[in-house]
Amino acid sequence: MNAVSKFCWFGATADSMLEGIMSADLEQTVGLAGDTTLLDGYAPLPRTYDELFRWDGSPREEVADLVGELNQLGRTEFMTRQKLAEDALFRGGVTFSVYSDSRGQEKIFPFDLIPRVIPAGEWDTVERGLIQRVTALNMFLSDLYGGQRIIAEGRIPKEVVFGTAGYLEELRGLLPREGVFVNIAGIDLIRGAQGEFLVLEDNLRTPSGVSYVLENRVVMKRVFPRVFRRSRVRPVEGYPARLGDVLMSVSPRPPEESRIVVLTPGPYNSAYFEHSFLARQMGCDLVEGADLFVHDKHVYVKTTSGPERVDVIYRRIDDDFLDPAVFREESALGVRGLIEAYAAGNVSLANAPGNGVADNKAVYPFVPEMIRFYLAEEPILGQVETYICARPSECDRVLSKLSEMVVKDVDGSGGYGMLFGPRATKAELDEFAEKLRANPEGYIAQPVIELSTCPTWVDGEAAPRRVDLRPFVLTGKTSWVLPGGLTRVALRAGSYVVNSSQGGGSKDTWVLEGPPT
Amino acid sequence: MISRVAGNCFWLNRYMERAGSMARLLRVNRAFVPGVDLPHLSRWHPLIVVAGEEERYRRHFGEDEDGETVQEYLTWDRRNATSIVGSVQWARENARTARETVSSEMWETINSLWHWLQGGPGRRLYRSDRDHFYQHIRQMGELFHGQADETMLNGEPLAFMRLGRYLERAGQTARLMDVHYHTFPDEGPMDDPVRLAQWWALLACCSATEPFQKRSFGTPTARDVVSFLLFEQDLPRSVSHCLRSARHALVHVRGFGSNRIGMVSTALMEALLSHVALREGHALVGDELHDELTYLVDSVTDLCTSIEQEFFQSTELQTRILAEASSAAAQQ
Repeated sequence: MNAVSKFCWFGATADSMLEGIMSADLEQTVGLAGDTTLLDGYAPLPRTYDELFRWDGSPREEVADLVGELNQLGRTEFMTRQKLAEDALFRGGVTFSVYSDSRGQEKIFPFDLIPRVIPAGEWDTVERGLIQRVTALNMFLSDLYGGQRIIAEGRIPKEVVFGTAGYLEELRGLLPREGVFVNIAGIDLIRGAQGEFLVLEDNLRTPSGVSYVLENRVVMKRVFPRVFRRSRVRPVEGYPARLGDVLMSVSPRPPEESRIVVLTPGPYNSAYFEHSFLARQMGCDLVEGADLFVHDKHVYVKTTSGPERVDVIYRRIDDDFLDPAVFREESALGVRGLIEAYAAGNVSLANAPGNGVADNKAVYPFVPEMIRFYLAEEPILGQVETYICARPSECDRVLSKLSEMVVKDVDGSGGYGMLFGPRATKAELDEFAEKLRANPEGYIAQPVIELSTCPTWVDGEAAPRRVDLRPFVLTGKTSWVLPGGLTRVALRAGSYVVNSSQGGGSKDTWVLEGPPT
Repeated sequence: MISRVAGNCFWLNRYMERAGSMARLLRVNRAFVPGVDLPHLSRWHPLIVVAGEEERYRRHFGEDEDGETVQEYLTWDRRNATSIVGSVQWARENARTARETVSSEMWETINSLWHWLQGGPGRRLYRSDRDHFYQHIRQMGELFHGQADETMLNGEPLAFMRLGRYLERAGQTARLMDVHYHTFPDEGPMDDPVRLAQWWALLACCSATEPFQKRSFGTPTARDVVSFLLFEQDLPRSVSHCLRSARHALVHVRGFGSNRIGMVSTALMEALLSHVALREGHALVGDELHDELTYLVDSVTDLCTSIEQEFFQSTELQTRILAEASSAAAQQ
């Protein structure tokens, strides 16, 4: 679930696309007499936590006011606004294109207008849990590329760390500035049947999706100004500035002399819109590998007025492609000599190279142990029970209950290369069992979790659809969590797959302010 | 600004100019050809020659010089890098890569032109009303260049856009004029009615008919037209005017940077301008004109290559600047 989407956005930002909507019209929020209310008759799924409703169909206490506001709109009004938002999106050319399609067929990005809401108290726990987790993961990376105490003390098996992709021996002994490897983390959370937040996956390399969070918010504020105002939602707009602060904090030179760039693989990358969006929002240059060069262990960007030194690179290309002199020789995306400049301390990379070893699926089961080891604390956030197929006894258990399991390739991402037991045919199960027996080290398995649902507008009514959440954690000298994050929703009935490359959409995530103090 | 993005701005405008210029030429030739008695080969063949596509065209179509085939090739054929659809596609690619630099208005124009060409509407109009089709492309080109001037900050990106626009336009005007030579390769009475009719058509390609009428009295001669298209300062598409505008843009660009980058290009630009200035007042015709036009087209190409090397693909030069700076520092 690493890449949030396979889409490229073209065109203007949500702000300009919505100019066509008259905010004044939207202040009228009273539904028509006799109109059906929006969420009446909404039926949550059995044995599944719903973000807005209890099992008996009544709204949860913290969101009761919001549900009331939405209901007051009425279906007709809601549909009018949905249409307005879509028209504005289309007119402004805010469309994405499925980029495998060279003809550039372009569509509107699927965005659901019913917000996903997280009450203040619950968010408080999530926030503390995320910071704890990212802190431990950072300490783990410093340790692993340093003294490797955690291995020496036998708290995590050597084979797990060195046996999978992600660990880069070339970088041993190289510590990033401030000792922070993970400046930007996207931690995927789901809710179990009781509503408890669980970590599903850590994304510590180049997590994407934050631009959708910001764009979705712009749309929501314009389309539901009153509901939004009354709900007291925590703002997300500060993200680009915070990101800029974090990047500046790791610069090898003083801020007034520092130049920060965003490094993108180029316009054909699915997240190119986001790269360009963040560069624009932070007011720095968006560059490709060929725009940079290394001279005497310093990185320069080629400008029309000559070479300019670069101090911090927010890189959105993978480790493997960063530097053809060290990693993939054929990479045309990277910069020759970049790692040498990094090693000399002349440039900072965010995130640091080598993080893949901490977010791979084989290491995931050991994160709670890291928290205990480095912080001497119990993990605040739970995570999904995981069978390590490399262990014969656990592999046998997985094989005996394969139809109830989700089995994942430890090096896979994006929902590819995995088996979803309950949905697989007998033949598919048999075939996967073979693969598993042949290469148990390559897999982990987890029981199926009933992801929580949220009311979602499908075919003219609100229906329960499964969601996850990717909050973003920024770490410089301290850590900061963006209130909310990207809620992804599986738009197909019964589907558990929220990846936008596979039919997922997104929602705005509203973290509510706490009670006034 | 980032060298690559400067290149995107430059090329985006060159491609849009090229697409518009091809549309003008095709439209005018459609009007010109039926009214005059020309040998078959002189009707559409010259367009392929001035597009620089003679060899490739022959490879695909042999001796077929049918007007329909030529129009299809110059408009739609993706094997032809200078076809209208090819130019618009490359313009869009450049705009997309420099999306945060190009104004939204320009992006929307180029994007809608692209979708129009790609989808049904463009093709349908091409079949049903071709003059209107070419006119639409020309107008979108004009809209685009107008938007550049009206919606961009007057800074370095716009200066590179103008540089690309005017250099391409200077080259295109020279190419258009050379159509005449390829239509009438033999020496002959230069002011015979058919020849004059073509000069008249070429004026129309450059939106220069009305301006010419305002400046010229009585029966025009070929020399008058040539001189007007080459040297008229006040004509937006004359070679001389385009080169001066390009120089202005180059000076603007260099004002942002160090002295080292752009030295060669500036020297080439000045040399070309003095070459043109020396010829002002000399009315060229026939072979002499053809040689002159060839020289202009080649010089503009060389200048563009130099700009490419100095400003856009400049790793070597930039490394040298750093090396010189560090050796200078060591000596002190």
